[in-house]
Amino acid sequence: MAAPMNTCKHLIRTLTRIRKPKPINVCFIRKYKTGELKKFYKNASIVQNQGWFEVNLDQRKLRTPTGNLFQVPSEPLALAIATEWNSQKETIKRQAMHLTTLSNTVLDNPMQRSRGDIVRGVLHFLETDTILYRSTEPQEFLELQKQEWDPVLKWFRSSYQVELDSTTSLMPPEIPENTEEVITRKVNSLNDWALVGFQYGVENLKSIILMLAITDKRLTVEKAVQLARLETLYQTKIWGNVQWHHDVDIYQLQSRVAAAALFVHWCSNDMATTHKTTYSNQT
Amino acid sequence: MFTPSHNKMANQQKVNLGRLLYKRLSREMKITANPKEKLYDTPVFQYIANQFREHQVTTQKLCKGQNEVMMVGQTYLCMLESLRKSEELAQMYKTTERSIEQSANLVGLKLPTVDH
Repeated sequence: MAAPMNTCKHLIRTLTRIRKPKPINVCFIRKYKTGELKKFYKNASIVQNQGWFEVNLDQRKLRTPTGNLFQVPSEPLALAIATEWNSQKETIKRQAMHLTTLSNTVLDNPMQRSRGDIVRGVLHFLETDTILYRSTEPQEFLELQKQEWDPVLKWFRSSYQVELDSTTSLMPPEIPENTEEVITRKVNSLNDWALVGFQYGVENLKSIILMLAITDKRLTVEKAVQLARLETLYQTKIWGNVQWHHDVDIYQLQSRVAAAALFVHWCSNDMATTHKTTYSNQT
Repeated sequence: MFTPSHNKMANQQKVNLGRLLYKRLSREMKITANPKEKLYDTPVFQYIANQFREHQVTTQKLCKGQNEVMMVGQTYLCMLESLRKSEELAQMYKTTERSIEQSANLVGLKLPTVDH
């Protein structure tokens, strides 16, 4: 934060020296440079302020990309975010800071999404859920799908008292109305913060059922990612694993989904204090 | 007669899993944290230690599921480990992009010369 301020002051000084007659708009302090940002702080810590938790980088308060104050409703989440900032070495690697990014999305709402938009986005994955689509050949893969995906589907059906069948065709399966209603209610029961985390998880896994299994503590993140990548797993067992492609894929997926799961857990009402939510006043 | 010892074994397994989780979490935090500070002093580590202390008897909270807090710990561990490994792989496989001349040399060609 210090560097842009200095360049800005310098800029103002040089321009005033030139003495342009018309007024100059020099307030163009971008919070984050597009190039590599060096680590400009020594320590990240958290403070509590009126029920919200803020992150301090040295003495300065962390802000979102649009300049809002960075606040989260849960202490462990704030601690984990401070850890993310503390883990940065010489440069800031924002692509590794998933919890920070998720929190920024909730606070800024850059795509102006309402709750309804997000819930609809999540439900969209129901008819294209990964574990519902079975490919019929090769036979070995069909067996593998049955072996790995069927237990999860069985748990899902019994736990939520809904009917949902897998399909072997290209067309999406028929979703019974009751199923859709139950799942919509379940997704809607998440508060604004947890909802964003949940949607991020579903997007990455390409499956609501797997994400629900994670948030209901029925599957570990590693197992869920494995199930989401079952076909790739099967192919790499036959044709070989390429470390810089497949392993990178696995670790990236795992880190994202784990971050989403933690976000949902820590922001759910029993862990966090409930506040006036950011999306409720939009429809 | 059989059940108490069976329970005892299951409990011992849970305790062992807990110990393992604690060890692995500490290791990850040591790697990512500030080397100047003692890990024990950081608020994050104190939070983790408190969680382990609080939930010694049972990890069931709000009837949401068995081992709920353990799973949260495991999920956090998963996130830390995955980030670290993904970074390691990126470092291991990073290369600088070759210039056009170097790429041409790979297949035994030279760049055409331009006469002005």
